[in-house]
Amino acid sequence: MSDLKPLPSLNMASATIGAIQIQERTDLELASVAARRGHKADCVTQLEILLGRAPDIGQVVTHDDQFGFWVGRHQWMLCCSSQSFSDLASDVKAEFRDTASVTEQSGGWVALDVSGSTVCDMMERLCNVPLRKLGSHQVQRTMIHQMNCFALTLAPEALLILGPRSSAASLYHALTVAARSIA
Amino acid sequence: MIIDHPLLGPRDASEFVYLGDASLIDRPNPDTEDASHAFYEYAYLRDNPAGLHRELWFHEAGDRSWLVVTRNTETHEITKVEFAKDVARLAGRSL
Amino acid sequence: MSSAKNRLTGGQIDHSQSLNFSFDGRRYTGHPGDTLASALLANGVRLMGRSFKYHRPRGPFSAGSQEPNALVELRNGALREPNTRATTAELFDGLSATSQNRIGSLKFDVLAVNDLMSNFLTAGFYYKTFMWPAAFWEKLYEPVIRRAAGLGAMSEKDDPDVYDKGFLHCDLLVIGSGPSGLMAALTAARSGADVILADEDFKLGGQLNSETLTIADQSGADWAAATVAELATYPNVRLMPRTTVIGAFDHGIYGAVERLGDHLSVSEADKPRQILWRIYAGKTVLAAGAIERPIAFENNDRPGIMLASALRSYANRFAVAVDQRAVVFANNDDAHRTAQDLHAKGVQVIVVDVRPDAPMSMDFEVLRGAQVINTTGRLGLRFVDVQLQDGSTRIIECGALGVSGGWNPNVHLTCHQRGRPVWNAQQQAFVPGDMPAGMLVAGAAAGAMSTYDALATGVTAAAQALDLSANLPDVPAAENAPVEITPFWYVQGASRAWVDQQNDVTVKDVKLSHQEGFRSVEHLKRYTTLGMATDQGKTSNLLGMAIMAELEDKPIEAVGTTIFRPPYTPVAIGAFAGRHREQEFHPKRLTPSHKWAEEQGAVFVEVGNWMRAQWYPRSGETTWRDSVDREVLATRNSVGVCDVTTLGKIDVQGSDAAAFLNKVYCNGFAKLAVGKVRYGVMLREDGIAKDDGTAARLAEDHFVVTTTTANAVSVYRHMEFVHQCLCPDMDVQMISTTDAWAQFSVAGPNSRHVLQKIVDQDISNDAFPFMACANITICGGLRARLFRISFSGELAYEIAVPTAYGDALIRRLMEVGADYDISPYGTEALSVMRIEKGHAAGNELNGTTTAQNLGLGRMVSTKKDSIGAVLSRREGLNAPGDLRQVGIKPVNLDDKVPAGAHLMNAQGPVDATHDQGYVTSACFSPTLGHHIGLGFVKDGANRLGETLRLVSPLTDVDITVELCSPHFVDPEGERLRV
Repeated sequence: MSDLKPLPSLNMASATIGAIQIQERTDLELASVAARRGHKADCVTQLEILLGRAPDIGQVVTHDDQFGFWVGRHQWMLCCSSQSFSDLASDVKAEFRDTASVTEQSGGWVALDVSGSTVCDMMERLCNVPLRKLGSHQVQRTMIHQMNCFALTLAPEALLILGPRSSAASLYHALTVAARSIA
Repeated sequence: MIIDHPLLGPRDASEFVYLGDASLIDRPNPDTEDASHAFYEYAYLRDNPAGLHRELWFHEAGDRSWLVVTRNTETHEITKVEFAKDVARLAGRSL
Repeated sequence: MSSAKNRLTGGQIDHSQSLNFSFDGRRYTGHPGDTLASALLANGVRLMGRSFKYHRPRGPFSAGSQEPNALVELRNGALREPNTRATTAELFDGLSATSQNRIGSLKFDVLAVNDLMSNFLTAGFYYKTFMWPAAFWEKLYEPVIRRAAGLGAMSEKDDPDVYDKGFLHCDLLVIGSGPSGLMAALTAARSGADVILADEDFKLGGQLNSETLTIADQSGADWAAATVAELATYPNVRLMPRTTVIGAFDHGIYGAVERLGDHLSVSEADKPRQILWRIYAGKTVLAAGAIERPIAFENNDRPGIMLASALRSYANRFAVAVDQRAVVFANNDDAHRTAQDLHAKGVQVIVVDVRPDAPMSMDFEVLRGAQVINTTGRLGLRFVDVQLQDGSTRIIECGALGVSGGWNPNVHLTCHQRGRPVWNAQQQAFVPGDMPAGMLVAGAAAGAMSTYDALATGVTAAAQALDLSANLPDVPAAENAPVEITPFWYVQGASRAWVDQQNDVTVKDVKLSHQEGFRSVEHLKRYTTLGMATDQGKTSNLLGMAIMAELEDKPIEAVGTTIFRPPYTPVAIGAFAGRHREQEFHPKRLTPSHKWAEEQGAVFVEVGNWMRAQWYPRSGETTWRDSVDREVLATRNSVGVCDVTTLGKIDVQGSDAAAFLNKVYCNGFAKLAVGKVRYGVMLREDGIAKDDGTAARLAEDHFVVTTTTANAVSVYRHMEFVHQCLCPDMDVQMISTTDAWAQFSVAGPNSRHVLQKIVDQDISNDAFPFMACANITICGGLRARLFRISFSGELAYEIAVPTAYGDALIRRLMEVGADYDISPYGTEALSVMRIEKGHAAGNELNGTTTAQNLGLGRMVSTKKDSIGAVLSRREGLNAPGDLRQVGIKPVNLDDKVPAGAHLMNAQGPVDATHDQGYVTSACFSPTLGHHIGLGFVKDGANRLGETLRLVSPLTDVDITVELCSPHFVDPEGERLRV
């Protein structure tokens, strides 16, 4: 095992501002899955094995310590909670074999849990996702202050925001500013 | 503007990047004798209609699909939104 | 209790609390519920400003956002905001306001002399007078005119307030909270629809707050308050007072400015002063009411003269009698209600009505068939001259004159999608014509002028918008008087009768415009400035058009209106900027080594959104060149390391991945072996070079493509275009992985020694030759990727690890490289080394150059089709003597080679016709000890060794240079392969 230590993009940043809690999640591994030509059904079957159900358009499906969400036509993101930072993409590729292109995405994203009773008020200062109507276990790609993010509703009044890791500090700043704005 | 994405429903045009005339799908065959002329027209000549216009938009802050949007350039009314991939296949494009 | 002399009892203000404020340094008191204008009027202050051009004394003309005159500077210091309408500024304790557009005091404005010169200062005066000499305009005329004629002054300091932007969604947006808006909102609310009710006023209720009429058994204001209270109980209703809907955009998108802090003495820390909302509305009911319009007559602009409805508002809502004696000048029945209300408040009132058959009153005198022909009073109205029906003149002493020429439905937002209003002869007003899709109009905005009609159309509009038929609210009983009006625009014979008070446009100016041929309404507007500036002619436009119609002998509908454009009322620039200012102008992207680089004291440079280390100063180094030269030499002599994460990385997989890359790159990729990297050039379809980079084949069906930093996004988009639109059946899947991998260039003769210390596999030259790539592990098992590629020209590698390990990797590389004096290098050294090596970058791939220009013409494969291949072969891009990339070195080695300078033949003229080419990149080469450059020169490849002149007339450069190979360092490429 390598002795190199991963550095969280925000050094485990967290904040409580008014009713809002923001917390960096550092336990997520991500891998994207895109069906190869003619293998959509195989991928759906495989997703059903992994998640119990394949995420439909705009959906998030949670299953134990894993979840998956819809990214585009015949494309999904698989996420797994793990402290070991192992090689999720290799594991996923082993399951899907030649039915899908699998790409490691673990390093690409900063994951921020945002929760609180005023989370809708806060998010409407940041992006155009109609959160109040969206319901639970939905995902929408959106722009937050010019940063291309995924907003996932994982529980009532709780979101997971996935943003570009290189912009983690700017994204975190934008979230805290909005939280103070509505506090 | 709002673009009614075939799968995602109405989405703000600010999520999209505009490219231009959907005739860009009709890339000429490079192996014909007049390919040079055909490519010249393909690369440079566009209609600029006052009225219905089929144009390409990329859903950059969405599912990363290219769409063919039929839009009235006089009123901005959008009457049809299709996946460019489907349009291209219908036009006989394949590999 | 109030001591203000003109304060009445009642109204919609809180008499029990007092608010202190100041105007031009004098202290006054008002009450919660007051505007600055109403509080000043209560204190007997009518004079609030000077006019734009003639510096005429002016007071408030309205009681709302249509105000042309009472513009003031609000607050002090950096918070000062000019051109604020006193009629909408909500009073708060400690408010401080200053009058504007004066030299000297408001009462003794030196520039009032302009008024005496009014015969010269007519419309078009500046255009005609200050034309010659042209150079004088900018330096002399304009500054003087701007000082004299204008509005308020900016603080010229940074705006200390913050602003938010936001996004709202609703089924129904109701704009305006008068009787129709409230009924529309109520109808929608009861149906369960998501409703937003927005009103620019701080008090919801619209015109009802200014009226004495009743709805059901309540006063209009009480009914409004009760209805607002009911609406507030619905979770599906969002009430938004202090929110101006500023524009109706395509497909149901509306812009709105919500003022959260304007009525507070200081905005709360971190809280926005205003929010610019983008509202996505399924449907919209516009219930924006109507705006009263004036009649023009001689000297109709004195303080104390205002719209009749303003007198009514001040009396009923704000409990202010502008004066104890008032005259109402009108052509319609509605103005008589103003007189009735004033009478009820104890004001002595006389109505001057142009109509010989105007209704009479038991309570006040009505002068039928009479007209106001002049007014007097230097700083405020004192006397009104009335010409009676019999032709005699009667002079009436009074301090308030209410004018009513009828009401204009507020059609503004209906026209933002190019809709044109249509003329309604019965009401003598423009009413909405073509509407934006999804918008319906109700109430006075639709021409439904009675209270009952307003209430009823509010219900029907909401029901129609949401397709409701059941459970509609009952329409309560209310007045339902028809509109009785006789068109009357201006008093004949008047010469100084103001049409547009904000821009000092008179009846005479409109006539002059007509006389000089500026007759279309759009020309009239530009020639006279009618309808410009902050009020955009809300009270004046129609009057100007009516006069033009009369002069043209056309009906008003044939003259038409100018185009209404957003914003409805002025918006602070800060609201458009939102949080995107200063450091937050755009998000920053930080490289994985950023934290470490900061610790090293690196100097950073913005590259797009990226912050990249530009160089790493060490103690003793005094200039950036010291650092950069050292970094270059350290790398070339031993080993250097540079964070190259910013280069775009696109993961390309699928059974057709190779065929796909063959399509997007002009050179071949189909036969690239697994475990190899190849340099590639992408062309645009027109044959111009788009981007360059490398593609590494990690498996038969898996490539990693790199792009330049700047083009990462556009190349990905382009590749998706090629796939989805041109070869949709290819089995290829792409995803950006730029952020997912931390990537470092390790370059220099000792780079292999350093890397071998951390790489778990053998990377000897035999095992891992030039242009090899592989999935490897480092430091005992961490997955990584290694590419043997070189931008510097040295033996070099790029090593990538999952981004979270980037910080650990740079620290480890520095640790294990210490034996070799490993040096980090920044973008400057990177750039110097690539210029020394003759590698093209953004300066050369500048959107005008072809592969041929770059000396890469042979890369464009003729054996396959690729994007841009056909047009890259066209004649025009392949003429003999075309530009070719060359190296440029000064003959006198002390000379600098400036980028951007142009090359001329050694003998011959220096001009554009004889241009031989230009320098794209230049630097001091520490390796060679002198300046060098890269550039494009006509037929350059065949002119190596030739001496040319390098000139830059702008920077006074004129030196002699020699053309040479662009590969200054290791032209044979031996170092790469050792």
